[in-house]
Amino acid sequence: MVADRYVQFVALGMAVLFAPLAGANGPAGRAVLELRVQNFTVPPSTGPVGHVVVRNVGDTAYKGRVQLKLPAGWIYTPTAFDLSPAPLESLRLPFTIDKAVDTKTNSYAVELIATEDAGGEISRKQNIVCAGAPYFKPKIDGDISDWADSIPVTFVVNGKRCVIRTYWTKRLWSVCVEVEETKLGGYRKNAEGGTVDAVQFALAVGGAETGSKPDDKANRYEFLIADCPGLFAKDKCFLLARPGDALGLSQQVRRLDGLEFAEAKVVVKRKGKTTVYECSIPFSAMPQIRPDTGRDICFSVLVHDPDGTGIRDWGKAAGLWQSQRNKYAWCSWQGVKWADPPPYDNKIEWGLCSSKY
Amino acid sequence: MCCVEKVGVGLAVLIFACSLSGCGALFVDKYVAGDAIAGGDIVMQVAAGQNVDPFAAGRAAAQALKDKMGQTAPHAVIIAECFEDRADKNRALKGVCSVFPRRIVFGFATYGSFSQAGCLDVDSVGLLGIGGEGISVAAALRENLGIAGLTMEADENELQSRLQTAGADLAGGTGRRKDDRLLVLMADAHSPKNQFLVEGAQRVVGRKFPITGGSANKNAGQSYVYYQGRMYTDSAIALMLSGDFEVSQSGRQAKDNAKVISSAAAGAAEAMAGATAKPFGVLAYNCAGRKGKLDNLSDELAAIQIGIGKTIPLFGCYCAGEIGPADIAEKNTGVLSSGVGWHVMFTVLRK
Repeated sequence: MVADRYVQFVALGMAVLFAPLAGANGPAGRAVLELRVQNFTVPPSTGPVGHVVVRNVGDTAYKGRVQLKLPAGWIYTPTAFDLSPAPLESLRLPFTIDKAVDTKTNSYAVELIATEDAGGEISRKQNIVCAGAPYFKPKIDGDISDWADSIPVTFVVNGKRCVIRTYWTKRLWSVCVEVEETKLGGYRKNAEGGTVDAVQFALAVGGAETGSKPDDKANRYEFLIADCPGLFAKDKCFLLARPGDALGLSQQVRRLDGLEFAEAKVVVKRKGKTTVYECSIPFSAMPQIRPDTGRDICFSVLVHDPDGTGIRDWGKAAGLWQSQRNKYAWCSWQGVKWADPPPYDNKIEWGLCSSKY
Repeated sequence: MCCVEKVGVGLAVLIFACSLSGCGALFVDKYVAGDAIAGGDIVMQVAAGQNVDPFAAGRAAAQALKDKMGQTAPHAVIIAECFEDRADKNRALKGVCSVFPRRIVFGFATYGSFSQAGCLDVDSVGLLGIGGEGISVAAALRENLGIAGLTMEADENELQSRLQTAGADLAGGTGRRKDDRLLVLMADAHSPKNQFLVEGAQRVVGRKFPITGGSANKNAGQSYVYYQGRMYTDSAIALMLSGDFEVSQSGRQAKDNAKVISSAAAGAAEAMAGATAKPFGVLAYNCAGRKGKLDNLSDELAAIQIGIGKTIPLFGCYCAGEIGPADIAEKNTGVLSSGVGWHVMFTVLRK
């Protein structure tokens, strides 16, 4: 399970949430930091570069030091960063791992401690993961046995488990999402709101950012996969957005009928209390993304379980900041049931790595 | 003049190697071409081909290499191919072997290749031809490494034992000559396992002997090495280059776009520095992970060309581990070459 917790969590909104412990009065006249360790994009044992991201959401400059704590026994440099972000400035601070051990659970406890020169300290503990797709071509058949060499990313929402697994080859992007849910609601034409269980996911080039205005252009490839009940019905993939689309399009409740993406292979199968969504998409349909070993991309997932947990958002589990919720990050569609506030951004770090052995 | 001698390593060596590895299916093969003459010519040329038809790519690259080699018949042709899956790799290999004799074709599956002409990704073949009276090539194959599926976390001791043995087998299998200059290892053993292979080879050639090379593409279904035109997995090959020439080496590590570019420039310049003889070829075993960090593949090549110029034949490929001078804080200062990852390893050959 991916969990994160702020040591001095105070549910009074973002400003207080990230405020320094000593002398904090909210952001007015103060420097306030948001902190996050990004997920590893290749297994830690391979000695990757990791990143700490920091944002000053206050209205004065911050000057201080952020200490990074990784699991015991790991060797990494640097272990602390001196920084002075201006108001609203974001920093992405690299660190190199020289020695680390991969875990079967794919969960790594980390901590950031920010100490301001003017006094005050905040910290954040997270459990981060290796968010990476090993190289492999799975058979898309609803049988998850050939996903054994993937790197599972597990998160739990209201006691229900989701497991995201990904693979890549030079030609295909493949994803498998196991969704623990009470029952499966399939897609039917003219579906009514709140009846369709589905998995929505987005890919983009590494480092891409989502705009904040309806006229801004999308820079993602966004898909939806859903079960289609019926003896001869094939499960479906829909292409919801591609680079160049106006972000305002995401707010239109579009019918899915005309958005079918025939180049994808999709199988949705129910197994006990779990629904398995399996899908592969050719990279030729996503020409902005260069499939290459060691390449960082953005990948994120929303699980729609309208009659159960509601939306399960990998962005939340991955520790994105509240300020990274963005209604333009995900497309609406006929049959969807959104929650309020909107989901988190879809530009979450993910990596293309070599096969496990 | 190219005399070819194919020798199954003597029974004694075979039994010795088997006893070390505990492997009943061990096979070591040896190939020797050329008898380097002091002052003789050395011809090293590079060619490449890219085509969705693997046979066409292999054949086009081989024909281009043959044209560049002119009247010189190569002792060895090294292939670095980047095709998906066994069938296409085999067709690319057949394309090369439709131009050159199968017995002189060696190499491995990679993540792409580069030369002075540019960088190639998927559906490509890069070739290096080595010939002339001034250089000889000995090659050895070590099958059945016995490491497929073993991990450093769970099987480090087993990996160390098997790969050190294999490294010694390979270095010994090439035979030793007084004019040995450079050992090139290509193996289905990726970083960090490649260090054990190097340690084994150093038991035979010595800790200061120049060694370079790379690990084959480690992706599932892609991890082949090629020996005399045939495909092998869980195997490694060695090429010993001998003759009247010199080598100089440099290695650099980097893990992000800017540093990959700057480190390539620094490494290339260092390998070229202090040259008293004229360079006739550059080998660059580069990391696929470095490649993945590049926003534009050509940026790193351009940086390399600042160091080596644009005229010396350059044979580069992207690997799953690299062998050469390590650029790491905890490197063993008593050795020249190490097996590592995230590096570009340059070897400049001069005469």
